[in-house]
Order: sequence, then C-alpha cells, then structure tokens
Amino acid sequence: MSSVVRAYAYRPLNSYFHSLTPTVKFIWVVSIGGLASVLNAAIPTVIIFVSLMIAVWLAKIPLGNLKVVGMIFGLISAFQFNALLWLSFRESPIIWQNGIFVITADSFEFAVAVGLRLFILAVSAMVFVNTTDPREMALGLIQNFRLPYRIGYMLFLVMRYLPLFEIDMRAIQDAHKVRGIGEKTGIRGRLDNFRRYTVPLLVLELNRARITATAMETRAFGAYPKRTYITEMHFSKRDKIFLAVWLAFAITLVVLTFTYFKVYSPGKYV
Amino acid sequence: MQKPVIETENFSFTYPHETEPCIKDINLKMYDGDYALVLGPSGCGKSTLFLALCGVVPKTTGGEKTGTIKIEDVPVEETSMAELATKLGLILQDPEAQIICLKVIDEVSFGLENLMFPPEEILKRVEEALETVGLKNRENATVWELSGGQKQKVAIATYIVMRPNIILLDNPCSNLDPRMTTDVLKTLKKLNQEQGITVVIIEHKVDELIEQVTRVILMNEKGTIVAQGDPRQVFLENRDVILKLGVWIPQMMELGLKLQEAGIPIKTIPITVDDAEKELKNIIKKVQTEKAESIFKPRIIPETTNILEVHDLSFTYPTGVQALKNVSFEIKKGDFVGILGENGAGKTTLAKHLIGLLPPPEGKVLISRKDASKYTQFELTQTLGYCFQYPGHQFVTDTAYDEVAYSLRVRNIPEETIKEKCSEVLKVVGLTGLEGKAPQSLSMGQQRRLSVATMLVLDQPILILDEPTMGQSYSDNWALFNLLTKLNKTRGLTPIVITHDMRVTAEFANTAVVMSLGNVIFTGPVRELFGKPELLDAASLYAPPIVHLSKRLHERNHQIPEVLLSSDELVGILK
Repeated sequence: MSSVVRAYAYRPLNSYFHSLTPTVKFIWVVSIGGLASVLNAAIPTVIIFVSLMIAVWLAKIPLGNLKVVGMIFGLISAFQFNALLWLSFRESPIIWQNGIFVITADSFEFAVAVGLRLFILAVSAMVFVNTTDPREMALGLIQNFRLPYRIGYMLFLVMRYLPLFEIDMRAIQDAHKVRGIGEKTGIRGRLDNFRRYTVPLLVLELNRARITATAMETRAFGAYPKRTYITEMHFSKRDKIFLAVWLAFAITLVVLTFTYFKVYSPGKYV
Repeated sequence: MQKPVIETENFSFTYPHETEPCIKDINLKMYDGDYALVLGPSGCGKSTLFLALCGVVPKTTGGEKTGTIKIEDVPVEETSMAELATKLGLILQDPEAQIICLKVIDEVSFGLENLMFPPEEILKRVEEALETVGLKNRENATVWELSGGQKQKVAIATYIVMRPNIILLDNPCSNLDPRMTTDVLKTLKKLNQEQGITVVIIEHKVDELIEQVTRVILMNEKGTIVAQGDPRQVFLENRDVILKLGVWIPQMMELGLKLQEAGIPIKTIPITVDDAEKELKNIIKKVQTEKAESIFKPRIIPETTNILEVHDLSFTYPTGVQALKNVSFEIKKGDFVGILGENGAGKTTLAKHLIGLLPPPEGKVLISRKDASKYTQFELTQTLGYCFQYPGHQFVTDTAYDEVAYSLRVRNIPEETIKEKCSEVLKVVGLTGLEGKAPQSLSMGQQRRLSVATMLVLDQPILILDEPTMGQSYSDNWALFNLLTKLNKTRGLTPIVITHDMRVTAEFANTAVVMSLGNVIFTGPVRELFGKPELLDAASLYAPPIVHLSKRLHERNHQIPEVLLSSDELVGILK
C-alpha cells in the first residue's frame, strides 16, 4: 500500500515531461486512457504500450516505481489476460488446444488488448502524477478549464498531503511496533489494527488540517471571488509540438485500427 | 499619544461544548515595535489568544466570546479577512503543516495572489521578503530541500511579504536545533529593530530570547494574564507565581533563586549572563582553591560493562541519502547519555537501528552484549524502551491504566501482577489518580510521562527518549529528568536522550554522543564537550548560559572551574 502511494507522488525533476504544461499532460493522460479503452485490438494496444514506454523514458520514471505498479497492475492484467484467453471466439482459427482448453487467434488478441489496458491506465496516470506539481495541475485546471479556484486548491491539497498521510501512518505503526505490538493478521486482527491506528491517525490528520486551514485563512485565501497568479499556464512551443505529434499519432492509430484491424468486444466482432 | 497596535478589553472566549472559558478577561496593549514573549503553562490558552487576534477564533471555530479585540484601532470582527492578512501574520510550530505549496516562490506568493496583487508587484515583494529572511536566490527551491530553520524562515517570509505591522509566532523554534533557533531568532530581531514590526512570540526557549524581548506577558492556567511589562520586572516581581505555574525561567534567574536560597548575598536576581556576572564578580573573589576543588568534582562515568555498542554502522536510504557514515561508539551500563547534533545529523536513523525499525547488519550493533540482528522485535522491546517525540503516536487503549497494562498483557502476565506493577509505575511517574483518563486527553507533560511509564513497566535496562523536552513545561520537564536520574541511580537504568536542549543535557547527562552529517564527531564527558567551542560549532550546538557565565567568572578568578554545568554546581562553590 505504502509503496503504491509513494509511486503516485510528485517527484520534482528536470525531464521532458516535467517541462510540459499540466493541461497538455492532462489531455495526454485522458486520451491515452481513452485509446486503450476503445481500441480493443492486440497490435494497436501494443503500439500504445510502446508509446507509453517512450513517455516513461522521457519522464525519467524510476524503475522502482514501474516495478511496484507493474507488480500490482501487471498481476491483475495477467489474471484478466488468462481469463480472457479462454473466451470462445467463434469462427476464429484455433492456435492452441489441449483437451477442452482452446485458444483461438481472436481470443489471444483480445486478451492481449484487455490485459495491457489496465497496465496502460495505471502507468500513464503514474507518469502524469510523477511529473506534475500538484499546484500547477490545479492551476492548469483553474486557468485552462475554468475550474473554480477553491475546488482547484482542494484537489491540490489532497495530492499534496497524500504522501504525508502515509508518513504519519508509518510513524504510528513504528510507535506500536516498539511497544512489542506487531501487525495482526486475519479479519479480526486486521479490524484490530484498523482500530489501533485510527484514533492516533485521526488526531494527527485533524490537527494538520486545522493548521493548514489556519495558514490559508490568515493569508486571505478565499477573500475575493478571484485571485491572481504568478504562474500563467500558457502553452509553450514545446507543448504545442508535443500536442500536435500526440494528436497526429492518436488519430492515425484510430483510423488505421478501424481500417485494418478487428476491434473486439467479448463474444462478437465489432 | 501613541495608539496600541493590539488592544484587547476583557476578552474571554469559550470553545463550543465547553463550560469554562479557555481565555478569560484578557486585557492587553501592544505598541508599535514591541517584542513580547508570552509565557504560561501548557494548555493555558496562549495559542487560542493568537487565533483570536487573527480573527480565526471564534469565526472559524465557533464558540462564545465576550469583550473586544482591536487591531490597529479597528475591532477584529469588523476587519475583512483581506485587511487582517495585511495587518498581522501568524507563524505556527510545525512548518510542514503550514507550508502549502511545494516551491518557495509559490509559497511566499500565495498571500499576495489571494489579495489580487499584480504578478509583477508580487515577484518584486517576494524577492525583498526572501532577502530579509536570508533566503535570497532560493525562490526555486522545493520545501524538501530546505532545513527546518529555512522552512520556518519561509513561513515568516510568507507573511512579511504582505507587509504586516504585527507578527505572531507560536513556538516557532521547538523543532529546531540550537543553531537554527539562533538563526530564526536573529531574523526576528532584525524585523523588529530594522522594520519596526511588532513581534509577539510563544516559546519556551527563554534563555535564547530573554535578551531580545522588550516585554513579557505571563498567563496563568485559567487563561488570564497575570502580569505584563518589562521582562526584568515581570520575572522579579512575580517569581512566586512563575514558579507555581511551572513556566520556563531563564537559567540565570534559576541561579539567582538558588543563590538566595543558599543564603549567598546578592542584591537582585539576575536574568541575563551579564547581570549574573555583575552580581557575582565580588562574591567570587573569596573563592579559594581548596574549596572549589572539594565541592566541584567532575562527573564520573561508571566503569562498568558496555550495554550498547555500535561498530562501523553505515546506512544509505533508498533515495541515495547517506544518513550514517561508519558510526562507532560505546555506552556503559548505568550511564546517562545525550545524543546531540543538528537537524538531519542522523540521530533518528541511528535510533531506528537501535530499536529495530531499521534492521542493523550483523555484528554492527550490540545490545547487552548480544548482536542486535539476532533479537526478535519482541525480545528487543524487553531490553530497550523507546519514547517517541510525539507520545500520542504510541497510545493504543482508552485509559492511562490500560495503556501501562497493555505492555504487560501482550506478554501474558497474570492480571494480579499487572495491577501491582501498574500502580507502582504510575506512582513513580506521578500519574496516580489519572488512571481512568483517556491518554489523548492528558496534557503534553502527562502524555510524555505516560509513554515513559509504558516502557518502565517492562523494566528495560535502556530507555531512549526522542526530544523529551519538546512541548514540556519547566516543572514537567524537571519532574521527568529528576525521575530519570532517580531511576538511573536506583535501578541502574541507562537513559539515552536525543535532544536539542543544551541546558537539560548539561544538567543531567554524563556522556554526550555528538553527531554531524551522519558521523559521530565526539563521544565523551558532557563537561569536555562544553569546553570545546569549535566542536559545538561544528555540530550546530551552543553551550547553555551557565557555561558562558562560568567561563567569564573563570577569567576573573581562576579558582572557578572553566566549565560548570548547572546552577547547583556554582551555588555549591559559592556557598
């Protein structure tokens, strides 16, 4: 759990992806998710996957983060892949058979597409979060998508404090550990762990929320319906080039996929 | 006539669902350029008073108020949030929680953006504010790159950028090491003296502040101001009240009171080292060699077996930060040890290796002569107790009694024995009568002693305490350290205290382990450490006032030892 939270935290670095404006990255992350969801065909999904790996490289995502997400979502994907592999696709050539177990060419392709989809969604979200300062993301939403600034900042604070929540939880777990109280297992044990950690964690987080609210209020947050910004979320030349290349890639892929590939949905051809 | 910048008239405030007011009949007048220190026992409403001055109480919290608060002659409830932000700033104890943005420039701009200032004006002011607090050219740094002291300076900059006339600071230095504390206090002095900003501060580091402040405001446990005015006047005219309230007093005042008690004729009680030197310069002329030598004995570190050994321990976090570099030291059984060093020196990482939260490599840490890597976590907790900086983290039950009993219950000890041991330990830590109270509802001092009790009940030979003076009143702190000294002498307990408090270290510890940038740069007697200014400097530490005084007295009369560690030692020589 904890390493997943860490894998989904902002990492201030200098990378190509870090230098893109959050709005462009937001468009990218939504569209790559959309492509992976709509294009249920093996080869296009593999192409999306390859493009994502280029993004991972451009964003300087550490291997450790990729492993954590790979382990969890990869397992789920593998499970999906496995389940879908046995789906019967009528009128499709059999590529492997053992007794009652049959893999048709179509079921294999469909399984690759769906199995990779979840992994693509998870990793692209990680690229976005790892490379985007939560404040700039909020500013992007506020300035480019006209989100009210109070809501934008609320989103920002959630992202800002999520990693601290994990640090607090660990401090409490450590404190209990040095008292000789280990983690309990089983349903009752887990409930007991939950009860033991809840009160101190709640006290801690409420206290932090109170301090943050005071720090914002005493600096006039919410004093006026609007506020100014020292950072304007303009599209740079780099943003425009990235967006153009990405959109060209996405449109080409959609056209080619629907022209040359079978796009599957369970049990029937589209 | 000059008008006060802060004026309260019979101001009282009661929190929702409470029957008694938290602060009562507050009458306060502060003028332009004042620098005031607010003192009072923990839980007396000092922080609530600050929140009321900022208009947060009762506007945000709810609750009932009577009386008035005026900031620059305008009632606070009639001042808009935007106006109030330009009149006064509030800096809190924990910079982590009050810093909202991740980059310095964004954080310092936040207030002005809310006030709709044009970006060009904001950037100009941010540059000025960062220069004032000594963080020029750090605007693009992220908060993770900053030290604790720098974070507090960013917090100060976030307010001075709005050019307020008043700054309120609630325990801004309690998480900071000695050098950072000095640094932050210097910044405040500069703001007060050069820009005329009125500074009001709640802080228990009175020794560091006493020569800076122009006023002291003393509150009692009922949330009422019992004295305010010139620091010397407040301390001297209210000494009995101050001692009864258990608030922190300057070490030189403590010395003066002890000198009077011992019948040594002094004209006035000193407050600063200068006062004390003036007061004692004639008295020390009479000190003879034999007398000084017979009374003053260096503290002897017991020559027993090693209870803790660390050999060549190194550790690098996965982020690449090397926190420990070939750390080696030994601690004798029955010693009283202070682990000292700047923030980020590696003290906590070292402690984590001792208590098993980070597994020590084979042969690197020996506890009671056994390799720490061979202990199970359960066995380790039988040998070594650890009290966290925030005692609230450790509590797992609903009452103080159950809290102590829990440590034994998980070890399947019969309930009869548990009852006996619990009442004994609760008596030792002075919590008898509070057995039924919820741990989280106890005062900070009581919580600290309860966390010590949960460890003591297991009779561990080693007890590590992380920053035990933080948030403690003077009387609670002395009660805790006297208790540790007693257990050290009677039960042979080896207390190891990780602390930034030099006064407490000098007074109670025998041995100091000093860390800097992941290295142990000194292990030896505390007296030797405080005699080495260059070493103190290298570890961002400083000597307490009594050491400065003894050095000055030594220059006047070489019969006075150069390094004295407590008021009691000097009184013993002069008696």
